[in-house]
Amino acid sequence: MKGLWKYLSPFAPDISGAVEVLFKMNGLIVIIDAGGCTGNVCGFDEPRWKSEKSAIFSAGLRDLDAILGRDEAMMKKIGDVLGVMENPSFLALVGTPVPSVIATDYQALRRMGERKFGITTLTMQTTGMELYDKGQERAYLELVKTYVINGKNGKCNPGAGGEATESLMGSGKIYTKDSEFMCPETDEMPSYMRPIGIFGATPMDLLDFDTTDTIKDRAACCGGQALVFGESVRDFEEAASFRENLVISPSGLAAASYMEKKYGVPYTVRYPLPNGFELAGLAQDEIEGKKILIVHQAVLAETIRSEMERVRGSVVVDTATFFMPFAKCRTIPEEDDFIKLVTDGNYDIIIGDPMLRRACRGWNGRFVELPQFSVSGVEKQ
Amino acid sequence: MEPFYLTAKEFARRGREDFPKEESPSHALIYSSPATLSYNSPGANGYGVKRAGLAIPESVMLLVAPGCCGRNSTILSRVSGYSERMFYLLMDETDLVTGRHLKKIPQAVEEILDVPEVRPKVVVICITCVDALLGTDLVRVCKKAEERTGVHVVPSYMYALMSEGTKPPMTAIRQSVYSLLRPLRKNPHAVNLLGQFAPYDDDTEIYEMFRKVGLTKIREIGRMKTLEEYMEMGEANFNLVLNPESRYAADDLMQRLGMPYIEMNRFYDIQKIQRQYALLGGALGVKFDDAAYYEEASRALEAFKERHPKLTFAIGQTVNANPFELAAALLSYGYAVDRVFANATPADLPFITKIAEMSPDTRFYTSISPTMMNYKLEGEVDITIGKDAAWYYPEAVSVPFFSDVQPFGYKGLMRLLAETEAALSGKTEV
Repeated sequence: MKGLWKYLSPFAPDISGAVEVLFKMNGLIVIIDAGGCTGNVCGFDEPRWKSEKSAIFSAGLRDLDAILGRDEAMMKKIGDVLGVMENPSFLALVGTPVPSVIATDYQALRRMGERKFGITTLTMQTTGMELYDKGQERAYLELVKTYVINGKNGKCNPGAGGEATESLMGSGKIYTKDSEFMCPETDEMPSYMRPIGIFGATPMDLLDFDTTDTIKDRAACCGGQALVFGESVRDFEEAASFRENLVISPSGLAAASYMEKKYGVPYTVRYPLPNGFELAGLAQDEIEGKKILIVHQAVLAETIRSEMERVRGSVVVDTATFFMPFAKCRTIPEEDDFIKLVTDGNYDIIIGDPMLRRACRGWNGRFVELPQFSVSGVEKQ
Repeated sequence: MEPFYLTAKEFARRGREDFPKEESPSHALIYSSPATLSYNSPGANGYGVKRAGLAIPESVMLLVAPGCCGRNSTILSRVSGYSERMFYLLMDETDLVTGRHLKKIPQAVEEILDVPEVRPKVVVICITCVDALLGTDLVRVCKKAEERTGVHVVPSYMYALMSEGTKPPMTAIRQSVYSLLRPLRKNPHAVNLLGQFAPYDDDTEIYEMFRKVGLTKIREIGRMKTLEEYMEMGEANFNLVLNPESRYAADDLMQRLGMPYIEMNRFYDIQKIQRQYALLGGALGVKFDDAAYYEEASRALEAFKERHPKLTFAIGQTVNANPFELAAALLSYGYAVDRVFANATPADLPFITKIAEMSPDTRFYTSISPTMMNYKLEGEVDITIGKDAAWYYPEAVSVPFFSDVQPFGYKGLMRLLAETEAALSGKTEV
């Protein structure tokens, strides 16, 4: 039955994804809920909450607030909190199922926030019914549209006109011409010295032993600086001058594509795997002639697939994801679809989050654990 | 801006007439600091609504909600070992508009009954805020599912939106978990303890004292292993309410089954414990012989005071106690209580007044106040009681005193002293 989950349990929702992108940016983040959604985000989906400070609040809605649409009352509460914060970067209003039901007018909220408090107000129309990557996508887009447009480097368009070639992943594009373009208006540094921006590097998307620092190190291994979008507003402001963007999870694709179209910043799509993990921890002879299913976020799954196929042509690798698709990685909309895929696929090996084992009943192959925080919520011990 | 707090003296002076609005969670944005996560959400750690609903023996739960409402169950159910009993019917936006998810429930119930190795006898359906706003008649839906499947189908509600109404989520779920009880022939020797979802400590004196006065069938939902055993709770002569959140359930049982109830509070003040047993005996027309327990607890208390004559405490809200009563009790034993981190209600004013008399400068912080964002981890206390208080004093000796199995009465006080002693000696060894 559509919507019925008998073996698996809910994955990280869009609310958590949006908050993860905003977490480190010194904004006031208000989740428009009664308390439960915020408890889920802070208590379970945001592992940094226990060790890092961020101004995440629940609107503390009560039934009459929702029924009567008391937006003014919420804004008053927000004003009180802004009064005790030191120079917040922005006010972010993050949606939940409650505003979905009462058809909250987010545009009106944005205008209210900006007029009343004179602060950049971002709105995330998350519903709690979509998954974390959709929330991240909304947050990235909102941030690039808000900050890059108004940013000081917005007029510079260094990559525009470059010739596109297909990237390794067959989807993102790399510009090969004009790579050392120098902006004539600003005398900016040559492009090879400009930073690489990384989209999609949050705890939800990374391998459980990776951090944003390890990702930055690997992304910048060929020289220059790598910056993870979501660590400061300034990175978004300056994003138009970046050499290129690296998308390591599908949640960053829309923002990277926007940056390419609007500012000519090229992007590639791949997960920078650590040395020795190209085959998800398996040895070459273990995958020889095998049929393998990788279930994870699509970019990581596809990166591993291409590595496996590169080193062992005899292997057959399918990739699938419960989240946004990418390239050959198919979407699994429902638990029933996953069970069918496993049952009909004749796989020798399934690589995925340990929680998925529960839905693999009756399948007798080898299960290789590749934890995904957005699935099981398990932190690396 | 300094975090909001009131001294005991100020708080007591303001009284009920000028009760601070800052104590009400809906007054301001809610700050979910790591300290408060165990209690400020209805699906929180410990017994949140979903785990509580599974207190009915041989039951499973179907959460009918947007995915976000079940996300914490992904983690908590695995940790607490009830993931095999949780099922989800996830809603999408079309469901919100059309209400079609309700039509799917009977079939979903039928399908999940085939999943566990042993067929469940009860399915608890839990709905959330969106259905509160849609005005869903879950009782009717449950009846349909019951007719289709032949198992008990129990409605339950995780309405965070109603956290400050007459029937907040943890009150509502207590009513739900007793809703299957049906009237049986009254047994004058039977009593139900209504309070928590896990049992009270095995050595709690209440069991032995009750048996001595003829109350030989003492039942708690947390000890019921089968649905049959649970149903026997319907024969109780009366209910003993040990947690105010069970009052609504007790009222419901009184109306439906004609089962009266008496309330008791959990105290750590030994004089109050003694007085309360005397009052309970008076109400029941019996005399409880608690002298031996009183003596034993008194000796334990005196020995503890001798070993630790001077201690300063901070107390939190994530604790098996009313933090204000606990603070008052510790002050009455001669200790200092520097800070209490908890949301007060007008019902706490008698304790606050008593604290003000003994220690007017004790500070009461409201942990979920937005101003707590600026709270600096500083100051010195010797020991913290409560999981959340430990977060504010990472250097101090910590006694979480927060477990599923519940302390009560004289033995509860002794357990508190023993756990405190163990924590203090742990520090000495370090």
